[in-house]
Formats: sequence, C-alpha cells, structure tokens
Amino acid sequence: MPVGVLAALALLVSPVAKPEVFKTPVWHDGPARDYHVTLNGNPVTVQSVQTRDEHLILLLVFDTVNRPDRVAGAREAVLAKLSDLGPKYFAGVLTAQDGLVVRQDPIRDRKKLREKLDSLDVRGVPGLLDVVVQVSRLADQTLQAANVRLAVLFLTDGEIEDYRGDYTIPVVNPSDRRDLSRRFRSELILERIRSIVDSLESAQAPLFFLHLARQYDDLNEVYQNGISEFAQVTGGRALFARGLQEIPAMVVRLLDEIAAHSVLKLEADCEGVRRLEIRAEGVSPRHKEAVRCSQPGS
Amino acid sequence: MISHYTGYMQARYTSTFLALVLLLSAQGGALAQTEGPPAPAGANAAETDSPGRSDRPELAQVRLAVQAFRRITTAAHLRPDQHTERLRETSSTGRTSSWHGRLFEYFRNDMLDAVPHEVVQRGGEHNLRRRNQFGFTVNGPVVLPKIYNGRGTSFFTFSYEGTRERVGRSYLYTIPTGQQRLADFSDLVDRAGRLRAVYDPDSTRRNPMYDPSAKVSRSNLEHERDAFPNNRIPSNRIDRVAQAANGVYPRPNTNVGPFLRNNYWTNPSERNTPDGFIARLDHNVGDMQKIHVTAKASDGFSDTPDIFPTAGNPGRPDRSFTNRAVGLADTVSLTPNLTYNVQFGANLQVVDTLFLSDGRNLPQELGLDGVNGSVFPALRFRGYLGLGSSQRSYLRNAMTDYEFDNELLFRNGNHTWTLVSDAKFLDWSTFELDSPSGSFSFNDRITGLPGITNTGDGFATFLLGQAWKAEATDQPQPAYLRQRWFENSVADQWQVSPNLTLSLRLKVSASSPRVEKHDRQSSFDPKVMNPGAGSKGALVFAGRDGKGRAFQPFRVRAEPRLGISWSPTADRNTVVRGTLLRAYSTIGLRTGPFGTQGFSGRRFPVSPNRQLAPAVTLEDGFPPLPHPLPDLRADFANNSDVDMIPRTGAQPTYNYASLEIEQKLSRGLTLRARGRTTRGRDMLIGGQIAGLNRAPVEVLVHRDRLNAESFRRSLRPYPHVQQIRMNYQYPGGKYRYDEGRVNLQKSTGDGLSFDLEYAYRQRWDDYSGPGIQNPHDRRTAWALSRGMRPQRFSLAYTYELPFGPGKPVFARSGLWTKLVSDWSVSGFTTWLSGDPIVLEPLFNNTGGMIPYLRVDAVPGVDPHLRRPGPKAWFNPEAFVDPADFALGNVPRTHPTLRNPNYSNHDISLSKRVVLSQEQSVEVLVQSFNFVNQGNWNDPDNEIGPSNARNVNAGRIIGSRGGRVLQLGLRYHF
Repeated sequence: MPVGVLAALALLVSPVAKPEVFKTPVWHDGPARDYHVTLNGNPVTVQSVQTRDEHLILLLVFDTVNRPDRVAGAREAVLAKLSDLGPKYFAGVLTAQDGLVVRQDPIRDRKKLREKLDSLDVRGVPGLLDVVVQVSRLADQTLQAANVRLAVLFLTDGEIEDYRGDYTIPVVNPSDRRDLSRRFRSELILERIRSIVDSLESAQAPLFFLHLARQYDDLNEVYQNGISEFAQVTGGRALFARGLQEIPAMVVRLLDEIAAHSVLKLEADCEGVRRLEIRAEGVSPRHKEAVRCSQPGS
Repeated sequence: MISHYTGYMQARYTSTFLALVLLLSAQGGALAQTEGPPAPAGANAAETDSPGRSDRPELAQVRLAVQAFRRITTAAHLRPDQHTERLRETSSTGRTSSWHGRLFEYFRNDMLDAVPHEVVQRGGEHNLRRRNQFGFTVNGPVVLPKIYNGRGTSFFTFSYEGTRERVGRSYLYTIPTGQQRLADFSDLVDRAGRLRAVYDPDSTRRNPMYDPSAKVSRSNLEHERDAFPNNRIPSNRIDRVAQAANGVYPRPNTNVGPFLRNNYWTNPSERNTPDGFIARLDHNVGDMQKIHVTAKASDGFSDTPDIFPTAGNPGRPDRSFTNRAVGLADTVSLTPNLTYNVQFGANLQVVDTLFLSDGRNLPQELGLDGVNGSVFPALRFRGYLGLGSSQRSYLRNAMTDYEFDNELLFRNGNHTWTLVSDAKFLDWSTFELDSPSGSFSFNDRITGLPGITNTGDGFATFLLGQAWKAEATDQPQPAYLRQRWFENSVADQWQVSPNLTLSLRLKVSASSPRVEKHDRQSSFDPKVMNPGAGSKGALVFAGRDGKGRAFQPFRVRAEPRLGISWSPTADRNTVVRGTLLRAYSTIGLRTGPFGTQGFSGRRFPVSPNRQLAPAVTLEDGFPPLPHPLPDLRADFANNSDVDMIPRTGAQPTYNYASLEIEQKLSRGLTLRARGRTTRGRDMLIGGQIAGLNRAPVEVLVHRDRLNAESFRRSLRPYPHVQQIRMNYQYPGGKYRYDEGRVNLQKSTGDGLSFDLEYAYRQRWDDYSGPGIQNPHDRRTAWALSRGMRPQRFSLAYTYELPFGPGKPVFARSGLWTKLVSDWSVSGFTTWLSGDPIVLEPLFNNTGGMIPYLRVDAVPGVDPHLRRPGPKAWFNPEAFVDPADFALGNVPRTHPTLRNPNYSNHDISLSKRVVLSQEQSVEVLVQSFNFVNQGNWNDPDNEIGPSNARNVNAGRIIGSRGGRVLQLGLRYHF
C-alpha cells in the first residue's frame, strides 16, 4: 500500500485537537507564574492555582470486607490526622461494596465523621475495581464545580478472590489435564486493569489507595500492581500495609501527601492522550505524567 | 465521550449558576448550610461545620463543591436513601450495562508447534495436536422480566467451558524381539552384551555334589538345570495361554539400544472431551445478610492412547469423569464489629474407569480359566513392557463431602477475635478391581540357573506359562466408607504496640475413625488367635465378635500457632515476621477396597520356591477362592497379603518455624528473605516400609535357603500371612525440611513488574519412595528425599510495551499508534536443579527378603565426572551390585549425585483492542517452552555386578519437551 494512502488514513483516524480546560495535581507551592506546563512539548496556559493553603475535600472510599482490626486501625488514624490537619479539610465518606453509596457528604465536623465511620460495616463483596472509575468521575465533576482542592483516598482490604467477577478463572473441567489457558491466569485481571487505567487517564483529581492487607500470591500481586497503576495514572499514590502496625504511619503519609498538593487549572488544545510536563522554578515537581483529554473508545 | 462531555458541560454550567447564587447569599451574610443546624458559638471550627470568619470566601467554594457533589450523586442514585432507584439502574459491577462477561476460544495445532524432542530423536516428523477450548462467562443482576427484578440484590455468574482435543503421546519401551516371540532366545544378551542362557525348569534336579557349607555358585550349585539347546524353547513346551497372548505383541520398530533394548517406539493419540459449567448466585437479604449459592458440574471422557494397537494394550484404560458440587453460604453482619458466617457445601466427584473390551471376553479367548473379568489379563515380565493394563480396569469412585462451617468475628479494643467451628462429613463409595482378569508376574529365575543371577529371562518364563506371582481381585459390591472431621479454633490478632502485632491461635480438631455403612470392614489383628495357623494374628471384622464398627480411635489434637509481625525501624520500611506452629494432618479416607477382606477377596497363590516352581501356570488357570464371598473366617487371608488398618492413635505431626524479613527498597522494589524449617513425625507410610511382617535382615545368613517359601515364612513374625498391607496409612515416617528463599519484587512502574525468586531447600526423610532396604532400622534409610530438587529459580514478569499515546514511543495518535499500542508481554521462567539419583542394583539375589536393595560403593572411585553429559552422567564404576544375600551400603538416595536440571520458559503476548468503553477484544499468542528447550531424561540407574555390568548405567537416552503455541481470542463485554 502506498505510503501516501497510509498517511491519508492516519490523518483520517487522527483525533482533532480542540481547546479544553482541565485540572491537574502538582506537588509544588507557588503562584501560577511559577509554572511552565507543556503537553507533548506544546505550552499550556495555567489559568489558576489552588495552593496547599486552600481548602481541600477528601473523599474517603471504604472498600472493606475482610479485616475489621485493620479497618479500625485505619479509621482511627484517619480521624486523628484529619484533626491535626485542621478545619480546612472536609471529608466525605462512600462505600464501594456491592456498588457505590454515599454515606456522608463532605463535612468537617469530626464528631459526626467519627460516628459515620464507626457505623460502617466490614462485609460484602469488594467493589474497588467496579467503582474506581465512577468515583474518579464523581471527584472530577466535583472538582470542576468549584475552586477547591479535592482528592480521593480508597481504604481497601479486598482480595481478588473475593470479587464476584471470575478474575481468578476457577477451573471448570478438572479432568482437562492439558489446559494451558490458565497458565497466565493474571491476564483477565490485567485486561480489567488496562480498561480502568484507560478510563482514569482523563482523571483530574488524584486517587490515593491504602490497601490494609497486602497479599503475596501471584494474582493478588497483579491486582495490587493494578491499584498502584490507578494511583500513578491519576497522580496519586498507593501503599500496601503488611501488618496492622504499618497502617497509622501509612495513613499519615498519604494524608500528608494529599494535603501538600496544589491544583493547576490548565487550558490547552488537547485531544487524546498527551504527555504532561510541569516545571516550576527550574525543577520538575511531582505531577501526573500524561493526560487524556477525551474518553477512550470514543 | 459524548456522555462524559455532556456531564462535564452540565457540571460547568451548574457550578457557574451555583457560584452566582452562593456569592449573592454570602454577600447577604447567610451561608447555605450543607449539614444541619450551625454549631454553637465558640466550638472548635475543626470539630464542627461552622466556618471561621477568615475562611468564609474560600468556604463558599467548598460549599459549591459539596452542592455539586450532592447533586451529582443524587443524579447517579448513589445516596443511601435511593435504594429503590439503585435497584432499578445499577448493575452488579456498577458499570452502565447490566450484564458483563467474556467469550473465548483457545486454539492449538501441531502446525504451530515444534516437533517434540522425543519424537525427533526417534525419527518422527509430526506429533498430533488438535485442541479447541471454548466457552463464555456472563455475570450481572438476576432479572426475569415481569417476574423478578434482582438489580442490587441478586447477582449471578455463569461460566461454561468445553474442550475438544486429540494429542499425540510418545513412548519408548523394550519388548521381546521377533525371534524371542518365536521362543528363540539365541539373540538374548545381558546388559553387558553377553549371551544370556535360558534354562529348562523341567530339568531341575538336586546336585548330589552340593556343599551346603559353601556359597552357591556355578561350581557349587544346589540345583542343576539344563540350558535349552541353542537357547531355543521347543514349540511343544510353549504354554497354550501364553502362545495366544504372545500373538498380540507388536513387532519392534526401532533400535535405540543398547543391544536389543529400547526397541519399540510409538506415538499414539488420546482424545479428551470435557464440558462443564460453574453457576453462582448471590442474594442480599437486606443490608445485614448475604446468601451465596454455587453449583458446578463437569463431565469428561479421556480416550487414552493405545500403546499397542491390539487387545493386549498395556496403556491406561479409558476414563470418564463426573464432578458435581453445590455450596451454600450465609453471611450475617450483626454489628460493624461483629460478623457471623455460616456455610454449607456439598461436593460430589465421580471417577469412572472402564477398559473397553468391545464386548469380548478376552481371558476366555486366551483360554485362561478361573478369572471373572473380561479384560486382557495383566502379564508382566521383568525387563520388558508387558501385556494388559497395569492400571485398575474397573473403577468407580463416588466421593461426596458435606461441609458445615461457622465463623464468628469480632473486635474488642486492640484484639480481633475469630471463632471457627467446622464439621466435614465424608461419604465415599468406592469400587475398584485391580486385576479382575488376573495379574501374572514372570521372573527370570524359573528359566535361570537356580542361585545364579544374570541367567534366564522373564519372557521365556512367560512362554512356559510359569508365573512366580499371581493375583486376582474379587469385589462383589462397593465399599461405602464414612468419616467425620471436626474443627474448633479461637484466634486473636492482638496489636500489642504501634509496631508490634501478635497473632495467637489454638485449634482443636478431631476426626472419627473410618466406618463402612454396612460394617463390611476387616483388619488384621496381631493379638487375635488365628485358628487356621494356630498362632496369633488373624482377621477381625467390624461389628462382629464384640468388635466395634471402627478399628481406629477417635483422634483429638490441639494445634497451637504463634505469629509475630514487627516493624523495627521508624520508617516502617522493614517488617519482620515469625511463625511457630504445631499441626497435625488427618488420616483420611482412601479409595479402594482396602480393609474389606472377607467381603472382597484377593486370590494370591504363592510360589513354593520362586527359583524352582511357579505359583500358577497359565494353562491350569487361576485357582478359585476356597469359599464364596462373603467369607468371614479369621483365617480368610492366610497365605496371602493381609490388610491392616493401623489402630494407633498417632497421626502425622508437624513442627514448623519461619522467619521472614521484608525490606522496601526504592523504585517500587521489595526484597524478602525467608527461612523456614519443618520437622515431621508419624508421617504416613505403606506396609513395605513399615515392614511389620518382615524378617530381620540378619536372616540373610541363611542365603539360598531363603528362596524356599516354607523356610522364609518360618522367619516372619506372622508366618501364615505374606505382607501386611497398610495402604499408606501407617504413621511411622520422619522428615526434616529446611528452606532459605530470597525474593525480589518490582511492582508496576514504567509498565514493568516482575517477581524474581531463588530458593534453596533440603528435605531428608526415612520413607520416600516405594520401599526401603531395612524397615527394622529406619535410621539407615535417612537420606535426601526422592524427587526433591534443592535449588529453584523463577522469574515472572509482565511488561506493557511502551508504545502509544502517553507512552515514550509512538506517542502521537493515529492509525499506526492504534496498531502498536496496548501490547503486553508476560512470562514465566523456571529453573530447577536435579533431584538426587537413586541407584539400583541390576540383580537382587536375597531370596525375596530385601525387595528394595541398595548398591555398594566401590572404595576410592569418584562417582562424579568432570563434565557430565548424556553419554556419561555419572561414573558407574564407583558402584557395584552388592554381593548375593548382602545389603548395599550406598544411601537410599545419593547425597551428591543429581539427575539433570530442568528448565522451562513460557511467554504470552497480548494485544488489547478497545471497541467501546465496555467492550474490548484480546488477541493472545502464548508459547509454552518457547525456546524449545529439551530437558534430559534421567540417566540409567541400574548398576550391575562386577562381572556383568550394565553398560548403559549412567547414560541418558534422549530428552523431552518441545515448544507449544496457543492462540487465544477473548471478547470482553
């Protein structure tokens, strides 16, 4: 096929860039003029910045089904740290088991927050893989609605075997001794993770994850790697507690990171996935590495 | 895209409108409250929702965001009070469509594969492989239009999978040569290549010159015999049944050697056609209770390969499989800190084996009388592949397990308590006929020179029809075995301090002894008088003569466990874990008619002297049972093997300790080092190793007298029975296992994750393998475990190729990018060092007293070679068969010689094509052993005496393995 025809075809299927306004987290504190932002090397306008001194809404998503001891440890640590952070930090509560449900709108009333957290059950079927995109979009739309900082913290203790979907590919025919389709058993989990990562590339609010009970088997390693990818693609972070004693420090670390982020409001001609580069005062602060300005599959 | 964009624009316009409203409100000095009434004046702002004066303008933005949050979640029916709406609109997965799942097909064809090494080495150019594996999985809410709407409450998952497969198998065996089948043994040579004489048993006579004070040797024979002239058996001497059976042997078709050995290679195919499904149903009863139902079914038929294309096929019989399972689980959350789980499960597994004889009565066709089966009899000749299947020809095992589990979990301060109570009921019906048409073994002694090894031939003995050992089983009805297991435990997860957690558990478990539904059980009791023998040791029967229904005690054990998890550093990057525990394993049920003698029978004629006379002659047929079954006489098993259900209360016991250090490193790396050790005692062993009816090894001083059954039996503790069989249920073995392991993991970053592990382990025991040399001194059997590969290296990896939008290469959008993006590579690499070599003597001249004889070391000769290879893997000159009627001195498994290493490399390449937000297709190319590695077979381990060494000892014949390619297509929706 001639090169010209290929080039024409490539042009036809190439998305057309259009102006879009979006927000992105950055771990730097300074005014808009400090930043030099590019998408695939093209400069981007920084419209405004919400710095770390400004209010923050934290959406706490509980996806807890197995370990009440660790959930309790995480709950106490979250409450203690939020009290330390002060009145500019609002927290909302959602649960992910068997579908996403709002348990508490964002508030800064710590007493009420404690009551709500104390009433949450540790039971059911985990839902992180099922709701993470939904939560991300809810967070983005909320973030777009006002000039605030917003982050999501998932607290989960679910294992991949607990899901209702058959990610573990249970053996259907035990007499099929030469079945090699399960040799790469993690591929179904990877497919789901890739699908979610594609959707999260357009996320604007950072997602943070604290897995309360790290598992070491092959399938859960893949699942946990996927959770790390969700955090990475949105600019957040995932931590995995290996024991009850690690949880309070991990909560503090994640909430400190959440508290330290600023939000840049950017305007750019953008379509599809673009590599994002942010420099401030000559250095590259921590930020998410790519943005998608449209949804996958469109 | 459109829905997202619309939502996004709606959010923007709404937020602008709300901002205006709120700005006006704020100017009026009244903020809309998002949560109830304002807090009292003077309350800490951090503890209430009241804004401080300084943050009021910023707070307006927060309130704006909260209003938007509330509006968006209301529109999406995510509020707690929108249960009904949620039921209508959300799916089980929270995604927009109701049902999700996947369709898949995996395809294998030999056109895509490398020809396996073992086939190439035999000159083959093709190894059949046709395989299609297909199926689907669908899950979602249960919705029956106009009948039931289970959205949000009832969910199902249904998976179906089927396979249609034909695959070639490769076998290399030694069978009699065409000349030998004509009773001409002039080409018969020993392992050193020297002519081996075949003697006429009918010419046996006592040697008048025999000197009993000297060892039996060619110059001092106890019995004399004449060799067949020209090593040919006259045709009129051939047994009629053997002659008929001889006709179904195929002809040798290759000459791998050495000499005339390894002369039959075949590459038949087997067919496999399983179909099955798994169905699951989850139902939420309110917020507090969940019910979970599972049903599984699978039916398979394995048409196994015919090693011989004749009625005498020695391969496995065809087998059909039926698996059924149902499970019911109920979980009740009483309070957030108190959860109760109850589960009930029932599993049924049925395995049928049927050796098809096409309606023919093969024993009758052969002229073999006295057996009940219609399949070909099992005919075994030492040194050759025999005729007829050695596997169970009729088998039907239906194993039903019922399980009832309770778990209560609650928190109290720094303690999390778990109380568990489980019960498991096993109901098995088992029907197995080992040898319905009889099993006949032919040794080289009957056609050899009595007392002299390396003479005679097993196949020649077969042609004369003189079996030294024979067995036929009769089981008129299945055995219905029952057993109950119970387990109660209390566990506490105790957070002692912020960096220290202890886990404590005490489990008390119990198991009932095995019983048979109709009390059709029996066991050898060493203390009961045997009327037929006039000495102690007789069969006793369950539920009769004051005996209970069971022969074993009700076993109870306490199993403590202590775990520790400690973070010694302030940064918590290091975790130390330790575990100490004691555990037991239950002596469970096993399939088969073991322990039902009297209700089932094993006819077991015994040769009066395995060098001189047969137990059975084929032409004469199999002797019948003296009495019809059931035969509940205490001396029923006299003169044959007897089953003994061990009465001891001992059970396999394990003491385990482990210590692990986990260190987080930079760049997503985690390093773990672990050491663990286990000591096991009272491990389950079989009757050969327990050796309860074995004479002490000192009796070897009687030398050739031991060949006479009448003398040999006089030396046994229970002379009137042969072996005491234990069915691997005698708790008497010991083992020790030590392991060190280092593991480096990299979690995803730059698309790469891997798990690299090296393990070094050693396991010693005194029982692994089929038998040991001296059961009365098991300390001498203490050696490296059979099959234990001490070193293991493994690597598992996944790499998402860095091509496509947002990635370093081909980042621009376009057609090319669509082609190169979303590819990933996964793989496994495994390397295992070789397991210990087990050296065996070529000849065993111990009068049948030492069935598992070891070899002798030759002093001063190094068994290791500088460059081991297939032509010489170890130095066989370092070993020699022990002298006649003597034990070998080399350990049971060699302490330093290892079989060849093993390695395997599998890789999978997948391309994901996104069709829409919820639909995608995956194309998979999976290659197993993709480097087409051939792994060497184990070397020939039979040594031979100094005057007739096995010239092939230490050599390796061929390798095995070959690349297999599988293509897969998965459609996700």
